[in-house]
Formats: sequence, C-alpha cells, structure tokens
Amino acid sequence: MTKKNVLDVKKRGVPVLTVILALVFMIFIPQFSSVQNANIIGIGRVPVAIFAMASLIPLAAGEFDISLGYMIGFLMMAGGKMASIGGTALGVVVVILGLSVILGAFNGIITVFFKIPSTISTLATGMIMYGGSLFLNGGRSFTGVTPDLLIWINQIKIVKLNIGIWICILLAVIVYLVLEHSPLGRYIYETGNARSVVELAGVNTKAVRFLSFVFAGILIGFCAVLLISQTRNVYPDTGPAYLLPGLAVTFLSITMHTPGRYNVPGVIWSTVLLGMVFNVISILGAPFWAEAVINGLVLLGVVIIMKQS
Amino acid sequence: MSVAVEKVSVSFSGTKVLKDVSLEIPDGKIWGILGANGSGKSTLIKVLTGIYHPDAGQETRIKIGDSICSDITDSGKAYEMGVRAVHQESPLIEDFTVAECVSAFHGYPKGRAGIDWNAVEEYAHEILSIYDIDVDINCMVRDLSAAQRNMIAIAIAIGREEDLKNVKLLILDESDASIPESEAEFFLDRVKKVAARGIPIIMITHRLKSVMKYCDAVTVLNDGKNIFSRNISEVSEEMIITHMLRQDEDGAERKSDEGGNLQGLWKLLKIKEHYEPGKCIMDVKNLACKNLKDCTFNLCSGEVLGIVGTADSGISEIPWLLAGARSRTGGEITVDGKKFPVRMTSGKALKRGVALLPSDRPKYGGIMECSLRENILMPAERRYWRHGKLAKQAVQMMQAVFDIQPADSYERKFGVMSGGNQQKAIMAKWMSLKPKVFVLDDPTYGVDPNSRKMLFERIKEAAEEGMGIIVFSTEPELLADICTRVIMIREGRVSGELRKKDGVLERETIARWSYL
Repeated sequence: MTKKNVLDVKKRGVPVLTVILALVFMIFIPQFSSVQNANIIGIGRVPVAIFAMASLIPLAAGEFDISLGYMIGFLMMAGGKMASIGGTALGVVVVILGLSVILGAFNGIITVFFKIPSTISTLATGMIMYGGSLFLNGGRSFTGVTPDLLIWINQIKIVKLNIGIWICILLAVIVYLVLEHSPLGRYIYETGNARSVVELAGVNTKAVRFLSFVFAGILIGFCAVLLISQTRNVYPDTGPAYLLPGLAVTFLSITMHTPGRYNVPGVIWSTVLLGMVFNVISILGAPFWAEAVINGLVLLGVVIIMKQS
Repeated sequence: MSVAVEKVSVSFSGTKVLKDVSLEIPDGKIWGILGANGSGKSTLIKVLTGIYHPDAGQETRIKIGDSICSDITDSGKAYEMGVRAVHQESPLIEDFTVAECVSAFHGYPKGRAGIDWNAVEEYAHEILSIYDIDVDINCMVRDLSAAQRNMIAIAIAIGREEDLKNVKLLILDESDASIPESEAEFFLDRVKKVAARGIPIIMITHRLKSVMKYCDAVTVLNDGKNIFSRNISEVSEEMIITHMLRQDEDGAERKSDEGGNLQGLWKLLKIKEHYEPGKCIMDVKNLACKNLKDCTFNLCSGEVLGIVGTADSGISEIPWLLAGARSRTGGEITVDGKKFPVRMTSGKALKRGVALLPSDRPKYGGIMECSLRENILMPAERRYWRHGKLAKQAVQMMQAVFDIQPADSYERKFGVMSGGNQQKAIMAKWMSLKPKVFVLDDPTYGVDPNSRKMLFERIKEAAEEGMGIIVFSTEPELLADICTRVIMIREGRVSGELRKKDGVLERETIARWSYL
C-alpha cells in the first residue's frame, strides 16, 4: 500500500466502509436519510462516543479504567439525589462534574501512587461506586427528578441537530487537539508505549498517568449530565451498560486513522458506523438482542481483517 | 562427532558481519569465544541455533555431531541436530517452583487425575542430581541466586541421562554475565562436568579469567573474522587482549562538517548555554548503591571521562545514579556546586543539566512504536508544540548533523530504523539539549563502524564545546580513542586512574581493567 492510496485499508478501511454503507442505506432505506433519524442515531450514540473517549485516555497512557461504567451510574444517581432534594439544574451539573473530577483523581491516586495495577484498582473502585449508587436511594431509582431546565436544554437543536451531538463533537475536537497536538497528549501516548524511555526524558509519568484518570473522569461527568438530561428518571444500573459498547468503540479506533494507537477520529468513525448499522437493523425490525451480537461481530471482524492486511 | 563450521559468512543489507569464519571443536572441550561488541560472536551463535542464515557459498559447511549441512534452516532443526543454547537471560519463570520450571520445558508427566505431581518432583530431582545442583526443587525461581538459575537453565537445556546422547553441542551465550565473581566458580565447575561427558561446549564470555581457567581453547573474533584460535596452554591474557582490540577501520571517510555541526544545531534551537572549559562541573563523593560501595571521582567541563570495570564491580549502577534514574543509598553527587537530593528523578537531573544515553536501546533508549520526530523531540516537546516549522527544521538539522538515514524519515516508525540510525537519533535527542554532563552507557552497542566514527566525532566536538562527557563501555579501544582520562571501578570503588601520556591513553591497560 502506498501513502497516497485512498483505500489504504489500515488507515481508511472503516471510514470508507462507513461512507459506502451510508450511501447504500440512503438509497435502499428511505426512513434512514431523514434529519429526525440522524438525531435518533446521534442521541443514542453520543453517550457511547463520550464514554469511548473517556476510556481512550487512560488506555493511551497504558492504563485500563474499568470503573468508568459504574462511575456514570454513580454520578447520575448523585445528580438525581441533588435534584430530589430540590437542587437546581446548575446544582445538578456542578455536583456531577465536581464529583467526576474527584472520582477520576481517586482512581489516579489509588493506581499511580499506591502502585496498584489499574485493572485491579479500578475494578475495586468501580464496585465501590456501584455500591454508592445503590446506597444513594436505597437501591431504587429517582423518578421525575431531572430539573426542567436540563430537559429543555437537551432539546435545543442547532442546524437541525440535537445539542448533545454538538457537545460530543466539541468534546471530540478538544480531546483530539490535546492528545495529538499538545505536549501533554504526546506524553500520554509515549508513556503508554514506553514509560521507562519517557521517564529518562525527564517527564513526570506519574503525573501523566494520574491526569489521564482525571480527564477520563471529567468526560464521564459530561456523559452523565447528557444522560440525566435525556430522561426525567435516573436508574442506579444505567452506567455499566455503557462499559462494553464503549470499550468496543475504543478498541475499534486503533484499527484506523493512526493504526495501533487509540485515537479520537477512530472513535468518531466507529461510533457513526455502529450507530448506522444498529439504526438500520432496528428499522428492519431485528430482535432486541441483535445489537449486542452485531457489536461483538463488528469488533471481531474489523480486527481480524486489519490483522490479515 | 565434534562440531565444525567452515567458511561461514553472514551479510545484512550488503554488509558482511561474519567473514569466512571456520572453527572446529572436539568432543568434551570447552571453547571460549571472545570479542568486542559487534565482533560477530552473537551472529555466529545465531547461525548455529538456526536464527540467522549464512550466505550461500560452495565451501560453507556446518557439522554438528554426525549431521552436516550448509544452513541450519530454523531453531527446530538446530534442536533436532543436537544444539542446546543457554542465553544470558535464563528462561525460567519467576513465579514457578524449580520443579514446575523443569516440567514446563520438558512436559508435565500425566497421572490418572491430571498432572502426576510426584513424577514432576522425581523428574526435577533426577535432572538436578545429574549436575550436582543442590537446590530445593520446591523453591521459587525468584529466590534463587544467579548461579543457581543459570545451572538449572543448563540442566533444563540438556535434560536427563537418556537425553544426553542427543546433545551434540552446548552453547553458553554470556550465561555467566549475571553471576557475581564469587559464584562463578561454582557455575563453571558444573560446566566442566558437562564437558567431561563428552559434549563440546562453546562459551561466549567477557570474563578473561574464566576463559583462562576453564576453557581448553580460545577463539577471538574481530570485525567478523576469526583472527586467533589457540589451545589455552599456548596463550597468555595479553595475547588475547591484543587480538581483541579493534583494528583501525577503513570505512568511508566522512568529513566532520558534511551535514552541519553541533554549533549550528544549537544556534537554530537558540541554546545559549556556555560552559567554561576546565571548570569542575560534577563532583561525586563516596557514592553507594547495591554493589557500589564508596565511589569518588569528578568531571571537568570539556573532559571525556571513561569508566571501566567488570560486571560485578558495581559499575552498572553508576550511569543510572548520575542521571537520577535511581536513588543512591549513600554519598553525594554535586553538579555545579548544587547537591543532588537523595530521592532523585531523571527530571530533576535533567534540570541540573545531566542527561543519560542508556545502554538498553529497546527498553530505555527509544520508543519503538512512535515516530522519529516524537522520539527525537521528546525531552523538549514543550518548546516545539506550537512551532511545527521549527520542529521540522530541528529534526532535519539533527538528521543532517548526525547523519540519520534515510533523510525522509521524519514520521518513520522508530522501530523499523536500523540500530545504528536509532542510536544516532538518541544521541541527537540529548546532544540537541546541550546538557552540562552527558552520560553515555555503551554508546556503540550494535552500531556499525561508520556510525561509530560519526558518534565519536560528535562526542569530541561536544567536549570541545565545553560539555562534560562520561563514557561507560566494554570496548577499551573506544575509550582509548575518545577519552581524556579513564578510571577503573573494582569492588565498588575507584581503584585506578589513567591519564593521557603524550596525548595517548594506553589501551592495553584499559583492556586489562575491563576484562580482568
């Protein structure tokens, strides 16, 4: 494959496949190509995309944060609690984002400064967070608590697209710029690849790894705010459902754009691809379990094809 | 029986690294193979273990026991022919017991209900007793001494009495390197017993004393050629050292300013530090850590200080301590009058102007998965991130000054570049910062002759500009070539100093210090 080849499978395989599929769906499935449908796809996939970006940052730094799914649940329940005791929209958002920084920092401290492998430390903190989300309302959900202002904001449309989609795009641009075009982003990738080399270059890799957990927490905070704004009810077990689909998108990202690296453009393309496919199978009336199966099959298929090429 | 190689040559990308090497090892003899880094020892071993393949030649022949061929096609064939190799890193699993390790390599004996653990223990007992290794088989591998590990690795490689007939050649590839001198005798006594069973043994080592005491014959490789093969009774240590010294290379001459010079690079990067020549910039007093006990020396601006010593002398700790990557247990390091705190990091050392080029390139030198640009600009990333044009210019200039090939490798993955080009890039990375003290640990390891020459030129040039340079190397000729002063570390202390006499350092003395 030469650099100029548009069909460079390793870099552009998934984007090209996404565009081709979009064209095919637009031609053969009339319901697919409406703005309303684009919003449906977007609203459903935005939390997954933000989750994927959150898990991507520690992974790029060589750490694996399993707690993020439980963190969504805990943050939403904390927001629900705040709202249930009469908190305003701003109060709910501040509580969620504030706690997200604290929880991210907690993961970072446990992993980096107590030198515990991240899979173990975040498994433990994840379970604690899950327990916390059950504790906040005795294992029950909060119903009808979300402040009206949040619901209203969530329904704003800019250029016909839901505001959630724009927030996701904005976050993606920020994460992309930080990771690819700032020294900190370089250090995150370099630390993930060869920590001992980066340490010799005078980089404080402990700080880099710690910050990767904090950034992941903040993104999960935005994810929780978006989710709580989408519905008036908050359930304690909402979060873990995002863990596997979100990670699937993160892992798909390393098969494109900059192959071998977790990257934001890869997350976006994978989200769009999977979102379209799930949308079409739902239009075609596929059973409820098909989405999970297809998610797994797409991940396996793409990775196998990339390995072979 | 016996082992013979005849007229074996190996080339990589047109460069011959092994040149018509012939060797014959009779049964039951221990044959020492010596040579500086890059002399072709590892290549020869890799040919015998089926990893590298000799160039096609009509007279090329490899004989292992009764089998004769012109190329051992893969490691499976080498094993089939009876070649067993034990490398520097013993193949044992840290969290397994000795008995488990033995079975992991020879297969677990099965009973009616899964693994027969009694048989596993009996098997391990049997193997260890053959070689007279007194180790508890239920002991965890991580609790063993280096000598015990290496002995067990040999026992695993050879196997039981009945496996012995299949072993036609045992290769010990620097497997004694990690064994402290006090335990080396225990190890080598056992090796001698293996030889007594009629197995020819090739021993690659840097320890001249061991060669003189335990080997029956010795071969010296130099620049890919077998330049000296004798029975041990006919040689002296001096003869071996003289033959190990690298001959003057006749590689292509390169004008020192062909691609620009360091001054030009520093000007582009706006680095204005000026170091006054002759001023003492680093003072090390009573430095201690692990094997290092009480090490005292200093370094002046513009000086190239060589430090030599055998592997067990504690020398390997010094580069890491000077560069702050490890914390010392005692003593003081002062740079420009400011003391290093006891708890050090590389970042703190860099801020004080000390940089390290480490010896293990894949592990500490470069990030193989990242690009040349990312590797080369890493320590000064903050300076370049908003100045893409300057970043590109800086990399291009460093490529020109250090002759990093190919010229268009700005975004090339570091891992696909040759060892020589990688080393030049790592050197460029640090030199571009103009550190006050630059510590080089084995800078020419796995580097081709032309790249060596270029690296030497840059080291000398940097010293002329006032940088203080400390070089650790196992190559006496390298130190004699570039150093202004050499000190020897023995048993954790500085025990000798050699200064230039009439502008010349005696390489024979440095060699003695390195190997004896």
